[in-house]
Amino acid sequence: MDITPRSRRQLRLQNLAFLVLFLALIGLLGWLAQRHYMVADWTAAGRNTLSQASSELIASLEGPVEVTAYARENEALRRHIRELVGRYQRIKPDFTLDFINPDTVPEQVRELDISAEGSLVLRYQGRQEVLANPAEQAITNALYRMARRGDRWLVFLAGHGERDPAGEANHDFGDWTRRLAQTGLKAQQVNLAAAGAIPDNTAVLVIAGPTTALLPGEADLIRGYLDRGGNLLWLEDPGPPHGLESLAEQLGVRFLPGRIVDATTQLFGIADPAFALVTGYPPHPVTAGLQATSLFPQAAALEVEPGGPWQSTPVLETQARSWTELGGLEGDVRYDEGTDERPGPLLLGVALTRPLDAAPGAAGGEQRVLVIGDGDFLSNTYLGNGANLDLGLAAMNWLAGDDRLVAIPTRIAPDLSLELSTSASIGIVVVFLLLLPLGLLTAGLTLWWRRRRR
Amino acid sequence: MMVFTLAAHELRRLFLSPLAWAVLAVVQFILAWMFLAQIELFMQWQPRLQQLDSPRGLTDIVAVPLLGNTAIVLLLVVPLLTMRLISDERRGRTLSLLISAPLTMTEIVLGKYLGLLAFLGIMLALIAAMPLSLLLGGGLDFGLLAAGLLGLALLLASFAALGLFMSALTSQPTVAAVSTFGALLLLWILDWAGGLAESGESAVLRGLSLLRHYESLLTGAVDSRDLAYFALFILAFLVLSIRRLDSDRLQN
Repeated sequence: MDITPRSRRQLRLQNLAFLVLFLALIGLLGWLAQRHYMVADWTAAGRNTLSQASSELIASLEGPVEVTAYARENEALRRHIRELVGRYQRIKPDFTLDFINPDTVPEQVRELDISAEGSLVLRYQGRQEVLANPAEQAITNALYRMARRGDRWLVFLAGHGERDPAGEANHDFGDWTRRLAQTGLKAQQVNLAAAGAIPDNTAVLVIAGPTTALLPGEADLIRGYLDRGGNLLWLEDPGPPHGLESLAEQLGVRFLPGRIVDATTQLFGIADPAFALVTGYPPHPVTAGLQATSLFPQAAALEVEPGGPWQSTPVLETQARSWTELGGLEGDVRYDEGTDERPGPLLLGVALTRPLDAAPGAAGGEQRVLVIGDGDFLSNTYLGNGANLDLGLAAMNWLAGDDRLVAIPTRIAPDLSLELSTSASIGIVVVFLLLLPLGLLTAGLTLWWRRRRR
Repeated sequence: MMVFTLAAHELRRLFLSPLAWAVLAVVQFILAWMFLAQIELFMQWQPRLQQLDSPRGLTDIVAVPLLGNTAIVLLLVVPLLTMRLISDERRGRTLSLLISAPLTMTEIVLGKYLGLLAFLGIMLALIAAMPLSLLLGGGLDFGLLAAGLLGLALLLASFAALGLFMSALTSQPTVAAVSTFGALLLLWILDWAGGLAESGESAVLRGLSLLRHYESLLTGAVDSRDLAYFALFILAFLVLSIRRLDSDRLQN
């Protein structure tokens, strides 16, 4: 073939056209391969696959799940989250993941109360939950809670100076109930004197520190509610019992006089001694998973009277260096022996349960009551301290019967142990580190030498 | 079966040069060193592993990092092996001989490529022997190891394809080596530059990164997206090399 400038130009054009078309084809194939894919997990423990429990739950969800991860531009952390959420995405394609750098949205971070790097916010059907650590166990259980629950009503007693569930004042519960509402637990106030009854759809009744006495008829209504198997959260501040003596008696609980004073607080730089710290938690669904210290300002101690129909479990206990102070808090505050003051550890919160035969709306055939000698720890001022918020959310989940956990089996790798005998380990070192490299090098040198001689 | 004859010829030629032997020896020594360090680490962690919730095993702690490091070492080494494939023939004026032989360009390129793959296969076998030697004193997660070795094999085949193409472009072996190394490194770190946003250009950049697809296979999850990436990568550079030699033949 003769090569003329003309045919050369044609050839060049032809080459260029081929190149463009070929790269377009490769790009198209690549795009198609990204769209339609499958993943096989080759690991022995199935580490890259969702557990049976998770995948069944995910398959039953309708509508999109949105996950927002708050992580800085840290590739290792983001990859971990991407892989974890990818396992869900394989089963449910409308499971979306977005990353947000928390440094760029400080107001969102404050509003959602995100403390840990890598926190996830899950949104499903208008509800949302914040998870501090990204793990399959946490995600699946949050989805389970969000999927299972229709809206439930928390009834807050009103009319006696109780804390307002929607209030923004320092001592009110606005922040806490907003977080509860996001998970589907809605708060409403009921004034018994006006309404005359506790609503039938009440999931949990909350008595949050009345400051004036309840009428005897109102106390009777509450006792009747308990008799019918209702769940109750009772937050009582130090002071006179405000007409609830009969309720305490029914529950077999007694409030000790005085305020809890904890000498340990001074170590933490808290000048006010009337703060009780709880640092360790007994095993109970309410406190499971809590590690941080929780803080209880102006708390009262409890005592449980043995006997009665209730099964009681201590949930919160103060430290040994605390006591109930009867006097004022000015000047030198110390434990006075020989008076009515009690030394720690003191009972601060107790969970009472009672099996129900066949009660409607009960939490797993069990009536649940939680009595805590403090209301301030959930108030707007103190909610953000330590584990207070987590404790408040877990307490309500337990009371409303949403504490059933989806258990994710742990994945045990089959190769956890290595026991090399001395001769085997010497063999490995000698063969791989000495014999092989030296042998290869000698072979190469010999070859080079022989070729040079030729 | 001219392709295999050419491949065997290429392999023999590689082993006749001291370079191949030196490369094998150095790679073996460095990787053995890393392997032993990884075993040491596992021995330190071993007592604590049982207490963890979902502990990682021997394969995960020893073999997976070894394969990850191998990729970096071979990123440096493969350009040295591929640089002479075609550029040497071009420089030594033997290319026209080869071209005028009764062979298609496809056969020439595939033959040379397969010869190099055979050499890399030997290297892979040497690397795989290290984790397998642990069977003397413990169990292994064979699925995870197989996924990692598959990933390394695909990665090496991709390196070789790109190196072959670069070698076809130039008559200077060193230029071919340096440009192969540069291109591989760029493809390796492509996702660093792209930022970390989840959509838009950076997602595309991440999709093009060699590192990303390799790491995904190292977790033991064999994803058809990663396999397709490597397959298309190899195919693209082989076809481009064949095209390049074809147009050379016409223009001479």
